[in-house]
Amino acid sequence: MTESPTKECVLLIEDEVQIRRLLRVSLERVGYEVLEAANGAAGLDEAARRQPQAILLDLGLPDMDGLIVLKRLREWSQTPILVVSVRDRDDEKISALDNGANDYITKPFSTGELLARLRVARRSAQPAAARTTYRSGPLEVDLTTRLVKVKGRLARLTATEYSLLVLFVRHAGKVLTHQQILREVWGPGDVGQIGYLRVYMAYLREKLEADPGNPELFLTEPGIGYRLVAGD
Amino acid sequence: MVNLASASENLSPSPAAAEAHGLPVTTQYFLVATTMVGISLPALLLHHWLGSRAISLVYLLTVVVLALFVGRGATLLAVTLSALLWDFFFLPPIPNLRIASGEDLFTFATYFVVAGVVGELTARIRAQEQTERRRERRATALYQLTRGMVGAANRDELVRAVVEQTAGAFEAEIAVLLTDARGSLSFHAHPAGTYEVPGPEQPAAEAAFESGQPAGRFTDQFPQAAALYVPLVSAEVRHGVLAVHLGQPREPSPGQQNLLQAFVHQIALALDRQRLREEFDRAKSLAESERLGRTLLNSVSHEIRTPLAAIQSATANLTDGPDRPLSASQQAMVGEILEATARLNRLVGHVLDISRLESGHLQLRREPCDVRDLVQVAVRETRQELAQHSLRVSVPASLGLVSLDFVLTQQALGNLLANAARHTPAGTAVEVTARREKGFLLLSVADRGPGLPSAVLPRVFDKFYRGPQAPTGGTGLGLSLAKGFIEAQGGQVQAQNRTGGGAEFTLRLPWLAGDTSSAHFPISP
Repeated sequence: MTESPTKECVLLIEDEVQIRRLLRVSLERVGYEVLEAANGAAGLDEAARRQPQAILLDLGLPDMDGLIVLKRLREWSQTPILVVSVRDRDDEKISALDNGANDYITKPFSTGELLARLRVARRSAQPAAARTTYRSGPLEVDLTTRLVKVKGRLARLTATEYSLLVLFVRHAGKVLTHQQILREVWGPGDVGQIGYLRVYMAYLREKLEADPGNPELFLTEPGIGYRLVAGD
Repeated sequence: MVNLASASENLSPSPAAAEAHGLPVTTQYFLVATTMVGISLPALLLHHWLGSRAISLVYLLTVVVLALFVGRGATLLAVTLSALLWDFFFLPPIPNLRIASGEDLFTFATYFVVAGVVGELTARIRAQEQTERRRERRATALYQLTRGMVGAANRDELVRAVVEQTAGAFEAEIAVLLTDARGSLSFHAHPAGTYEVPGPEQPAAEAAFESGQPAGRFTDQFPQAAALYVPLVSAEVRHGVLAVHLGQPREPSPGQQNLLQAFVHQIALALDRQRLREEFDRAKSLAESERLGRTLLNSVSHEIRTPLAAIQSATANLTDGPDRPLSASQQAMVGEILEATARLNRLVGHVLDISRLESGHLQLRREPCDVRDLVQVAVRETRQELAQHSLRVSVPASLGLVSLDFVLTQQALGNLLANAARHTPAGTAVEVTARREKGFLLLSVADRGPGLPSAVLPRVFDKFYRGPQAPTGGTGLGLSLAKGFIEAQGGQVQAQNRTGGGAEFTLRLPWLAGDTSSAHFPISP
């Protein structure tokens, strides 16, 4: 039905031709095949026809709001979507993430960072069962044996701390919004209780970070949520 | 009849018609008496030819005709008078009230009953017709009023329609006193009014407004006033007072009073509607201006940042491309471009933040925050600027949660850090401290730089202000943004020189407990 591309294929949905040209150069240099769409309708069409392995989506499109493109894509596709936008308001980032974007990156961005985020998003698209272990810096987590080690020593976590950790490990490298975390760990009834989350994040850092005052694993995304850095 | 018919055809009812129960009562009785006497004279002349029975029919006819024009009482008078006149002049013995024969007595009795019944029926029909006509006039007047008020585009036109319709319906001079901005009654009558409220009558208007009951002429409050003052009150609001200076000296009839009540009710409702419409329009234009402001910010940010992104991305591609490695001087040029781009981007961000702050589009998001996390994020975000300094962070672990806008506070603190980094020599120490003191959260950034000259100290938070020795690279907005972000949360900023050299900037935020649950969770396990 569709020609299966030999290279990994990335779709750019972006109206600025200059940005498309530059992203094409950067992406092709590291070995991606690049498809382009200059508006939302063409983007949806291209995504359905060519089934790309990742999508870079600009929110300010001429024909429709990028958030609507995002919602329509998520109705049928689990392809990783990176939102790339000049809009730097937190509520827009949050609504993009809550509507299924894998990550959000604000223009102007460095190419290196974009590629790193893209790699993380691609990795997280692999089946969840494949990712049962996590390792970064001093932290080792094995979800099958439920063992958590810091610098080789066993760390003791409470049930809530552990379920919080599991959520982060499952989505390592991805920003999780406050609401997403509260809903997953505390349930839909406690979505407003951001205080719980702040306190438990402090507990987790205290137990798992080498220097809790200067965390390097559990990063705060101001106004949006938290991110566990991608594992090694 | 003609007069009334024309009144109902004429869409604007005349006040005379509004009062037309017909003629005044005394006139009615006078009319009945003269007609009866008048009809008796020719009847006397015709008596020889017609006979007394035919004359009785002439009287009966007269009673019926009179009943069409006069009220019940006058009709009864006509019946009695005609019966007596007939008996006196035409039934033997003549001229005498006595009746000789039994037959005549029977005829007389029958006449009396027939005339009475016919007169009563005619009067009843007439009364009904008058009620109908009154109802119609009332409906027409109200319809006129409502139509005039609905067509009004604003409050002035509304008042103009009220004055015109009320003046027409009651043949009166009208003044409309409305409330002022503070909700109290203004004695400057609306200019559309036809009646000038004299100074001595103002208490009557005030009394009507305060009590919610009519005052002035024909009422118990201030009856000596020339005009009647009726409050315009709806279920929700007191709108003002309607002054009605009636042309007639008599007290308004129940029908008029009724109509006036209906008028006042309608006017108050119309004023309510008008007020709601004005509020709605105001809210709409406010929302519109907010939307415009937002669109403008979004498009400015889009138009400037898109080319910046292109420059940055293109420059970065130069350095880490597979092409021949750049020479040292080319590498240096690329570095300059990247640094300038970053600076321009920072400036765009600061200008957008300032305009958000000043246009009031900044939305506060207060939520329980971990101060330690906040400080750490601010430090992380200014890592590059602080790379040449030794940083000391001191946040007590026992601070707990405090309710504030995480992003704004962290940006304010970050701006203080960037400021310290820029204005102090490399290698000096920068200290960040957080502490709780007497109901306030204090976040301070202290350096060991040259300190602030006394001329700079009072202006250091001003927009675009740069100290005389300020190095290039800053936007001149960092500190004033910090001030704006903190003041938006009800806090204060301070700058002072430290003993032993250097400057200290402090953010002072009211300590609002983060969460009821925070008491049960000490922040360190």
